[in-house]
Amino acid sequence: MTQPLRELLDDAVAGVEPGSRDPVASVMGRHRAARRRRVVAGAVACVLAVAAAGGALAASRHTVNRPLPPVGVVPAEPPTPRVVDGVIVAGALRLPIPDGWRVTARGSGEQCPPWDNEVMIHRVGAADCSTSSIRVSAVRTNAYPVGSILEAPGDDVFTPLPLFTLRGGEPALVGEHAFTTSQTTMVLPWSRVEVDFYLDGPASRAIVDTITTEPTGSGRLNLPASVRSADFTRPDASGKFTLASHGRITDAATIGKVTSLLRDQRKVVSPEDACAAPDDPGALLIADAFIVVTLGEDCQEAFSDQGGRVKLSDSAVRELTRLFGIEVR
Amino acid sequence: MSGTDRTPPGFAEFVSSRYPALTRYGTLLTGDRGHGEDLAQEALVKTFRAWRRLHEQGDPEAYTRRVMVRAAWRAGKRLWRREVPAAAPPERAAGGDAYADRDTAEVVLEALRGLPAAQRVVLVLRYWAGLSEQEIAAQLGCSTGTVKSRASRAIAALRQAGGPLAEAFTENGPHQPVRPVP
Repeated sequence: MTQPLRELLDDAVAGVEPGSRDPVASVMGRHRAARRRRVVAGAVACVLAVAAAGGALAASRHTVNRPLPPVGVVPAEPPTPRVVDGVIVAGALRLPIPDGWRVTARGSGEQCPPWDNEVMIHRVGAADCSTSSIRVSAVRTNAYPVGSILEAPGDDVFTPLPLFTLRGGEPALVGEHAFTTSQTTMVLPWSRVEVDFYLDGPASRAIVDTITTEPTGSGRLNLPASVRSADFTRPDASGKFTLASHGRITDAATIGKVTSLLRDQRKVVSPEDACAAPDDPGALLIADAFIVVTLGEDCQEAFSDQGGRVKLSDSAVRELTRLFGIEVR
Repeated sequence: MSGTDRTPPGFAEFVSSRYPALTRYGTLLTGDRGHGEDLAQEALVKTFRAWRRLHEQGDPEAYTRRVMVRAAWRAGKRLWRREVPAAAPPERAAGGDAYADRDTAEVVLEALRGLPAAQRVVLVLRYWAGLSEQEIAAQLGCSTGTVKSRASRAIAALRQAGGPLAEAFTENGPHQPVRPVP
C-alpha cells in the first residue's frame, strides 16, 4: 500500500452520502429542537430530583437518631434567567449588568439574538457580538462538562475541572483554558445555570469578580442510592495525574464503603467558609454523582454536583485513596 | 416555522451546496458517517446564528469547518456529566487477517474510529488538511507540543493496529502534508 495518506482518507469518505435528503430542514429542525430540549430537560430533572429526594429521605430515616445535617439538593427544574433592577438573576447567580452594556432584545435584528430562556447582554457599540457578549442560560440538558480527559500512556485519565468559589459561596466549574481564550464557559451545577463569556480572558474575569451568589445547595454530599462503579483520580505527590493515580472499583462491598464514607461526612461547608479555588490541586470522584475534591493546603473539601459540600479530613482522603487501590508516591 | 427561524438569504443555498462536503469532513473528524453528519448539522446551527455577519463579511464554510474541528476536539477533551466511564475497554477482534474481504474505505474509517478523538482530529488536520503544527495549535487553542504528541500517538496507534493507514506510514514514512484543493 503506497497511497499517500490524504488519498486514503479522501477515498474513505468519497462514497459517503449524507443521510438527510433535506439538510436545510434538518438544520432548522435541530435549531428548533435545541429550544424545545430545555422544556424536556426540566421534566426529566423534576423526576430525578424527586428520586434523589426520596433517597435522601430514606437515608435520613436510617439515621434518625443521629444529628446529621441535611443532604444538599439541587433544584428540581432549571431556573428561568431574568433581569431584576439591572442584575441578571438565575438560580443563585446575581450578575450586575456592567456599565456600557445592555440586554440584547429578542427580535431586534441583533447579530446574535438570545435564545429562549436565556438572558444575553452585549457591550454597546461593539462590532462583533461573538467577542463582546455574555449569555446566561439554564443548563439545557442534564449534560455539562465536569472533567477533562487526559491521555496517559496506556489509558485515559479523568481529571477534575478547575473549581471556583464565587462570591457568596456558590461553586462553579470552568474549562481548562478558562479566562485565557476568547470564550469561557462557567457552569453552576447547583443552580443548573451556565454562563458563556464571549469576551477576552481578563474582561471575563473582571465580570466574574462582580458576580455574587446566594447558594442553596449546601448540605451533606448527595449521592445516588445505587452506584454500580466508581472512579477516583487524584494527583500524585508532584501534582501530576497518571494512570497510577487513578482507580476504579466495581465490587459492591468496596463501593458501599466509599459511599458510606462520603455520606457520613458531616462537616458541611457553609457558603461563607467555602474555599475551593482553581489553583488548588483537586481530585475527581465519579460515583454517578461527580464529586470534586479540593486538596489545597488550607482547603480540603468535597463538592457534589448533585448537591452538598463538606470538609474532608486527611484520614478520609487517605481512606478513599486506599479503597480505590491508589498508591500516592 | 416561526419568524426567527426563517432562513436568511443565501443560507439555504450554502447548506444545500456544501452539505455533502461538510458531512464527509465530519466523517473524517469522527470516523463515522452518522456522527460526522451530526457534527456538520450542529456546526451549521451555529453558522445559521452567525449568518448575517458571515454572509456579508466572512467565509461561512471556513467558519463551519472551524466549529466542527473545535467541537470534535472538545468532545475528546471533556468528560461530560452524562458519561459514565466504561468498566472495561471494548473487546478487540481476535487475530487473523482482519482486512480480508473488507472494503478499504471501511477499514480506514474503522482505524480512525479507533483513535481517541483528540488524536484523530490532529491527524486529519495535519495529514489531510495539510495544516502546520503551529496552525493546528492556533485552531485548537493548544500548544504545538500537544499537537506533536497527539500526532505521534496517532501514528503509533495506527502502526500498531495495522491496515492501510499503518502501511501508508510504515512504507513511506509520514507523507508531507499537502493542502487540499478547496
